[in-house]
Amino acid sequence: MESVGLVPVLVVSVFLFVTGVAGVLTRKNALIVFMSVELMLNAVNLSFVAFARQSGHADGMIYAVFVMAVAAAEAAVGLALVILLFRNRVTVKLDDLDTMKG
Amino acid sequence: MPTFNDLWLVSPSLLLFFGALVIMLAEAIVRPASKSGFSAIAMVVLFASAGLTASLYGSDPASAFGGMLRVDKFGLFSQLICLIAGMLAVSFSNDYLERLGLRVGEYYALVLFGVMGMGLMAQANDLIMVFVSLEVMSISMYILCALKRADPRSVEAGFKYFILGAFSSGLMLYGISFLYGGVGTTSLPGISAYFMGPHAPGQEGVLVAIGGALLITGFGFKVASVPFHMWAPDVYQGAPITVTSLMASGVKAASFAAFARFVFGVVGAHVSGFTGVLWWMAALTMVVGNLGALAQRDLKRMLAYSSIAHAGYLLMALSAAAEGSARANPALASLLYYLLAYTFMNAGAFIVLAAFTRDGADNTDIDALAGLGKRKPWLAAGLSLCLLSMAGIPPTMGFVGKFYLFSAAIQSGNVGLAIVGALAAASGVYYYLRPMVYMYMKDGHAETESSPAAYAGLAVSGFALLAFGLIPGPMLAVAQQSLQSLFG
Repeated sequence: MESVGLVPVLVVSVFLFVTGVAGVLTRKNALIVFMSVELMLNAVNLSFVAFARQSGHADGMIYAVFVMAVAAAEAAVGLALVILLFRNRVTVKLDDLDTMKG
Repeated sequence: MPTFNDLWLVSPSLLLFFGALVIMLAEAIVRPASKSGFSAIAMVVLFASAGLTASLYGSDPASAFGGMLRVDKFGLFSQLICLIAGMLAVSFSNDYLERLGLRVGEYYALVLFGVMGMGLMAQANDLIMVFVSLEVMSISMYILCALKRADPRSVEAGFKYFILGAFSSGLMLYGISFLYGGVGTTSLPGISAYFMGPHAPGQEGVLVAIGGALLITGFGFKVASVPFHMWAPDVYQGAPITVTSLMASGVKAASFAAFARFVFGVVGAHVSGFTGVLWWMAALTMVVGNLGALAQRDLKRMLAYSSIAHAGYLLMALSAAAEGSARANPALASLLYYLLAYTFMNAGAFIVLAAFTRDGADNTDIDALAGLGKRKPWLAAGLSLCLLSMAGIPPTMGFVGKFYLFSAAIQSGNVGLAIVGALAAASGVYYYLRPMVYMYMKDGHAETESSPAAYAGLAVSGFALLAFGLIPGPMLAVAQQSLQSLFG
């Protein structure tokens, strides 16, 4: 079986990452923004694994596991914060988060 | 397998970790009435950890856990600054949280976890370790910011910090993966060796350039430098005051230590155009921070902008340090000294602000200060001293720190940057002196309340600011000595 080279994988990874960044910067819903952040982290994992396979070192694969663990912790805290936000304000629209100005 | 020596080298962090676990477990079984004891436990743990850090300081630099951590004097000094920030924050936490109506043990556990992350970040010698410890610190801070669950501002602050923090760690992590792809390793000495060697043009160079740029953006977010500062004012204003105090000094110290290790040891002068980026970041941060603070009437928000301005001064030192040599680098020594000074003056100011909190709500409007000079002369004197130190007026530690920062910048040839900084700092004197006008020249009757522990924290801060300001020699010598083992 012919294996995929480094470049196509990186292209997918960059596409995922740019989608994530664009989502964070343009979407107005807290949950979608949060999803976009997760997309960025998945792009990171993909590129770590691709580089690790290219170089033949296992380091990158292990880092991908690290990133997943941290992303899980972040997701737990992030979703808790979204729920807390909804309880307080009955909205998850980022435009409504304007109690502080100046 | 980690050896016994590895464990000994990270013993200050291990102690914090176990302390936090004990508090978390006790939280579940202890009766609410005796929960005020948690602050004493946290304080003892922080003290013991600081003692261990100080005892490690005398030993030779060593690598731990397969090169993941480098326990050297630079890292230990930075860790000590983070521990001091933690102690000062805990000193006024208990009665402040009581007045807010928050009797929670997990607060102290999270503070200890956060400080542990800060200490590890200052010693991380591998980009993956930088990332993991940064997340340990940040996740604790996200929760702490939103601790006032019923207050929309606090929750909003926590959420904003979380989204921007997660976004910036994503950028940073992508940068790390690109550097890993280009260089083949994430260890700082390995990357340093790559930059020292002949540069490989082409595909690899592009990966390294993108990686470095993303990594700097990530650090920029964490230290709240312009143009990545917009989260800081809202987050600092919304978070509980003790948390703001810890965030402004501890998080800043840890991020700057890791940033300095990266900039100074790894990239530094080997990459052309890099110091230019730092130059602009420093100049913009100093100007925007100081101008932003001028218009603020909320003191917490004012101090947030002031913290952005201070990040600018520290970036100026970093920009100057990137061009210097390893051993005797006055810019890097002044960075450490200034971080310590900032920790004291920042905590002192927030201790006084916390005294105005009553019936579950903060009162940090500048009008609250009116007449404080007559009613609570000691609180007023403490706040004045901290503000004078932030403005850089002698004989305080802030003056000495600023003096060495600016002279180091000039020595390294960054005269233009020093001039921008001096002008920005001069405009800052206005907003630092305005609260003093309110305290001493206006009448008012806002009630204050402070515990003996908070007074002790304020006294320690004030004493340190004056003592190290009048006799700066020994502390500067220690800061200077801390650099000797950096990448030795």
